[in-house]
Amino acid sequence: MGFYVLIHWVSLGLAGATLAILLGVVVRQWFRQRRAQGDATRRESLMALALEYIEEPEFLPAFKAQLRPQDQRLLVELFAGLLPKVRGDYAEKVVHLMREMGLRDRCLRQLISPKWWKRADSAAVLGWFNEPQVVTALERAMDDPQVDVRLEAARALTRLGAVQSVAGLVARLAVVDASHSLGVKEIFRSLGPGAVPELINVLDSDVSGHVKMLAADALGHIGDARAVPALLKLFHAHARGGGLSHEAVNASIALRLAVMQALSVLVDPRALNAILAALEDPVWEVRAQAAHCASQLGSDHAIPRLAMLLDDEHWWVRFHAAEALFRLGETGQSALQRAARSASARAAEIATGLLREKGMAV
Amino acid sequence: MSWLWYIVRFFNGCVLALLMMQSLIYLAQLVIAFLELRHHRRSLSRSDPWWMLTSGVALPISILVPAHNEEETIVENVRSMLALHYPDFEVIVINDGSKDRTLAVLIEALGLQKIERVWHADVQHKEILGLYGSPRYPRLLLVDKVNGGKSDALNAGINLSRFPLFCAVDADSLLDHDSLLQVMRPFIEEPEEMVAVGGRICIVNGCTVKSGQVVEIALPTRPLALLQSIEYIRAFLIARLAWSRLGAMLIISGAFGLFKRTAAVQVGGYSHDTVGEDMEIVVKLHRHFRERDQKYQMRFVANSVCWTQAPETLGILRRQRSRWQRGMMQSLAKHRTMIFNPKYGPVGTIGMSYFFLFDIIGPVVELAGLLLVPVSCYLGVVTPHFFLAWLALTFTYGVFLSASSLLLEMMVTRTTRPKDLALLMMSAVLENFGYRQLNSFWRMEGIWQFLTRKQGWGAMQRTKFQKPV
Repeated sequence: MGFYVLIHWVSLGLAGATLAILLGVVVRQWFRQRRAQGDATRRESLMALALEYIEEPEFLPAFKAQLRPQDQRLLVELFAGLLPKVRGDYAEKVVHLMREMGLRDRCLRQLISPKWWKRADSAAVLGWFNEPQVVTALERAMDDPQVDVRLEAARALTRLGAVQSVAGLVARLAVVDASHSLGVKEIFRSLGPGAVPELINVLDSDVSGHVKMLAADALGHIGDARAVPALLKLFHAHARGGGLSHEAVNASIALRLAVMQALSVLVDPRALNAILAALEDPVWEVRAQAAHCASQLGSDHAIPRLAMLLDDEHWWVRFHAAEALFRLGETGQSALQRAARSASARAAEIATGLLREKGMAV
Repeated sequence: MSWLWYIVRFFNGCVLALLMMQSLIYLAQLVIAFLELRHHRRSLSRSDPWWMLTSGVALPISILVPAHNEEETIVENVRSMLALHYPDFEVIVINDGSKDRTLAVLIEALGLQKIERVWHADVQHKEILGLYGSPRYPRLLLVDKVNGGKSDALNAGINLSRFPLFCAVDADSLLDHDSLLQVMRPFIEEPEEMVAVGGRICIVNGCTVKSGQVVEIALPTRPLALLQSIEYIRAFLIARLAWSRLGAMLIISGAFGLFKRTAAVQVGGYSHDTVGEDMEIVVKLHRHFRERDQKYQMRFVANSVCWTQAPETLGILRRQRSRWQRGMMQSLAKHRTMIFNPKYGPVGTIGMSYFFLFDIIGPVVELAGLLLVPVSCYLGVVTPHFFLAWLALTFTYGVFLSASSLLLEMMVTRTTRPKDLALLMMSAVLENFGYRQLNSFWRMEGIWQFLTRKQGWGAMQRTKFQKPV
């Protein structure tokens, strides 16, 4: 009987726990929704007031007088959502309003909160305050144990144009668990023209291939032609992958791809020879990217090699070559027309298909 | 004691052992899911759709919408897809030989015309009859093809897609505005290793839908759909999350899953020889990368929501459940070398083994257990006391698990109304009286269909999303 009693007690315990959970869930949700409704209403009225006072800062003391203690949290949330969507003078006014209302100081205090998400949120908002005190605090946040906080601090510093050194950024971001994140790539892209010399140095240094890829990608997006020689040098250094390990070969391919992508954005005639060489790369992804790059460059010199790629063994290379030829204007399109009538079935198929897709007669 | 007594006692022991093991696994899943949610909760709530929209990090996506006899919902669904918040995407609707006016309503409503598009047959599918597009909707491509089933339609979509990722979405489902941005997050964090990400499926029955968007969330009013609501919450917020954390996720729902195109092509796309194409492609991906010893990841994102219509009649639900069971068995049979095989890591040792033991053997044992009760009582192997005590325990334990899943629901979403939570709890109690047993029976039916090699999906009924005024 003892066994049965135990089972009954366990069942009763489970039933009790279930009831407790149910009660807890319902009551908590009820309070949570009430609070959310209250917040939403208050947020609406605060937004209306804030927008009014942004235009008339002389009435700011009156606005401050209307605020309740808990409004600061809502205002920070409101402005954090608003700031990325506004530009120029208006953004300046929002920042000024925030500063006057003590929201910047609140964020600075929260930057050392024990809760990492609060630190990360604060770092994101502080990215709009270009002041030495804020930059120093964000620099400190770059050493935060939580990677999300480091990422937000780095993003904020790049927005402020206050990243002291690319090497420092690499040390804090590119070698940790978020190194492959596209978020890190975006931070590097946001570094701006001031970082170009340092990024070029990264290409020439002995850092990991992944960091070099980040730098190559950033240089392409910043769009500074000074980067072209360094990118070409990097491309040629990795053009041959003989005798390398599997990982090294993959890294080398990824680097060649990153360089081609950067050159597609930079569109510099000095890259022509490298692009022509890349059109014959043993790796199909590089050939396809090079075809795209060639069309961006707009040079007729690439047409013969692009025409040859219409017979490539890989469909995506053929497709990109056909698209590139089409974009190169009349000469390229004539090459496509010729290929459509050629003996090579592969070339004829892709050329005919693309011309038809673009609405051209074959 | 007769030999029959020993046999019955032995079977009872097996049934009890299996049920106890299953209960312990459920508990472990609950704890793991809780830890996983707690770990990611803040990251999820911090995800900034605006940043993802404007920063250029979101990779382009081809949304594949296979449609077969979907004239009721397809136009609204496509319009809703075209209005999604995402920087760069295309919508490829694949009309899989519909017998109704699916193709015609799309052409008429969206003003589509025949177009040409160059494509390559990376994966196998039946003949494409025509492609349609419109300058008014440059992101939309309509593919008309010979009927070949959902897998076939998805394969056609893969071939015609031009972006690095594709998202398979059911034609009777709706995505939230930000769903694509949310499901994309793992690809931003791990762009090289991530091969597939699944989103959460919620039941749209009862919700108010306007212009292809769920504007008011509510529980279904029909009892059958309501019973499925708590099931979906348990399935996604406990099981799926736990498997994802353990690296043994074997299913990404066919209604909403994001895949790396190259990976899907490497495994030959969707298989034609199974009705559970969603499980099959995930198992194939696991197998492909494990056998080549290549690093890869798959993840489940709890806050990326897709709304789907749940069956409201027993007949349709029965077909759906037996088909799910059949599809799962087909995949397990096809990849049986992976079961209990440590070569495939947690997928083989935990995921496949679990499905084999508890989703194939489990229903058989459960039903056998039910049949054994009167025999056991008659032979005195089990006393009515013991039977009632055991019944009480399994019942309260099941309800406790369901209640716990509501705790997880609260961690993910803040919008569920308190009265809905209470209603869900009530359905967690009621499902034990008939619904669970029916489910077991339908699963048995699925097992039988698998053994008799039955193929095909069976008809599904679609209704318009809007509530009648």
